[in-house]
Amino acid sequence: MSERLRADAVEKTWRSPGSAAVPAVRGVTLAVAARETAVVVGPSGSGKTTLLAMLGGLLRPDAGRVLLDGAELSGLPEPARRRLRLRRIGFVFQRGLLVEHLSAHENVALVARAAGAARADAAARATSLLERLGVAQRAAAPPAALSPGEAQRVAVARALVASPAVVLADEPTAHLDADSGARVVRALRDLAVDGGAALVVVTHDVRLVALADRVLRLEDGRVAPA
Amino acid sequence: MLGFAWQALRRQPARVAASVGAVASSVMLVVVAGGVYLGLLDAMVGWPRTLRGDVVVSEAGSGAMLLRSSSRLAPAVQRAVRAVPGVGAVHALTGRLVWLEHGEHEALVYLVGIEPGDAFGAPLRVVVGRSRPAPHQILVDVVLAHELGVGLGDRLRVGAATLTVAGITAGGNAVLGTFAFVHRGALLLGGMQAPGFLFVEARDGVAPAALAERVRAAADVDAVPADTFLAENQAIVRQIVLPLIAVLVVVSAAVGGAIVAVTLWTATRERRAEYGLLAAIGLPDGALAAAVLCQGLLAGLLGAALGVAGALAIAVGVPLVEPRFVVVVPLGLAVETAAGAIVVALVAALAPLRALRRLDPALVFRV
Repeated sequence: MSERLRADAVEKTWRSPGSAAVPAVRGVTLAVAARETAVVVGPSGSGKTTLLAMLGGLLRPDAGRVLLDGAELSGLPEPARRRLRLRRIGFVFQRGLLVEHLSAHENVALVARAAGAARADAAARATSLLERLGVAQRAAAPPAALSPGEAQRVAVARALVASPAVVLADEPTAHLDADSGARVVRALRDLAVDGGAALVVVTHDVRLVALADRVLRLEDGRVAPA
Repeated sequence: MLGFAWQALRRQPARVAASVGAVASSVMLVVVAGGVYLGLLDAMVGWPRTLRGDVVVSEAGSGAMLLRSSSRLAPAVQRAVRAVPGVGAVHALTGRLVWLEHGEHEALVYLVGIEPGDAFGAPLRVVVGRSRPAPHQILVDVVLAHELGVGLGDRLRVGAATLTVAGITAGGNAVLGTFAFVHRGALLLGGMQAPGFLFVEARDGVAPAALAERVRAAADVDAVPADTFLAENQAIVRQIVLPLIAVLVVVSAAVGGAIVAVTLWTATRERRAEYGLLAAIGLPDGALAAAVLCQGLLAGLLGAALGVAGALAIAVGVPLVEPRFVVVVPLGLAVETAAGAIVVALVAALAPLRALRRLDPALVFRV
């Protein structure tokens, strides 16, 4: 299987004036292949989210590098990383994080449009994904009218609509009950794998480990021994 | 992004109302102020513009403004003017600034003496009654008639004379005073034989400016081309009203722009998390900027359209309530003001753009 995403000894330290430097991620290496699911677990403050932000090109590592399909992502300037995020990386955040003034369908179609799809194609792709995720009947609803589970499924559709190479999910079950959380993550994994993407899920929900092809445990910013 | 911006506006009616209302109020204020100014300018020369002549001659030092001129041209001066090479037909305007009385009311009018068989100096339009007054009759402007509460058959006093209203005219309201018309014989009987102005037609091939120069040199009078005469009759409006209009335009643009800027800036600040989310997903700065600019543009377009519509309604309504004021809204004024408002709204949208440029996409993990 081809390697989609790779982090080589990435490090990140938070510094703020007047405070001591706080190392968040220390020398973490991770590789995820196409159709593979990696789950990163660890307690709060262990550096999971910081690692995910570096994997997605939202943060630049202080040391080490992140490669997407073999090309370095972390060294690119923000506009170039932004273009890659739009077309090659899908994100699922905690609580879904949808644009409030757009309907569920518009939230999904917006990303496809921005990634270059024609209006009709973007709409069709959004509709198809919402159907596969079982929320097509809520397509016209604004985010405020969606349940947390529905909002998260819409967020999954948004993450997948541009057919990304990598999907990164940050605590996707954090605000869902056990059943909803399991359904959302299973749907996310199935759709991501079907589309040939690599999936990285950051969570402290140990039940998600069962879905993983590989598991990375973080403690104090370092990979903990298995 | 226009669709995105439209959705953003549609789902925030209060904010839209504030932005659009600010632009609309500014546009309406500017268009109405400009319209009042143009209306005043137009009114000042509505009737004088009908006086035929290429050069206007008045007594030296008396000024060319009809409503404050004391010009009197002696027969010898008139002869001297007629003898200037290049002078064609010469029309004499006999008139005086007088106080007209009706009961307790008084009004300043420029009384014009007209010959029964001569079209020169006649009223612009007759609303009702006679178009040529007989001796002891007077034709008054509809605005003056409204102010004094007089109609056909009512009597007015001018000095020791009593005149009967025989016609109501229109187009003779020059704001600072009005033009009223009497039989020329009535003026002669009142001791006003000497005309105040001569309207000189230039022979073919003679330029008005050159002829005015020759007349000044030959007859020791003031002589100006007709365009200058009209401009001098409008000068008082330009001097007094134009600076006020300029201040009003600047204040309106500043207030309207500031409200749009604050509204958009506040909206952008409040939606910082949303823009952060879009940046994290990968929407480029340009797309986010376009969304904000589109909101400014839509607020500008809607506000400008509403403002112009409001101004047109005022232009139609004001003269019905107060006939002295005419609001003239030419297409150019409406279009230029609307375009200016849209530019102001877009400039106002630049303030939130700075905040957007500093947005950290990783912010999405902190919400």
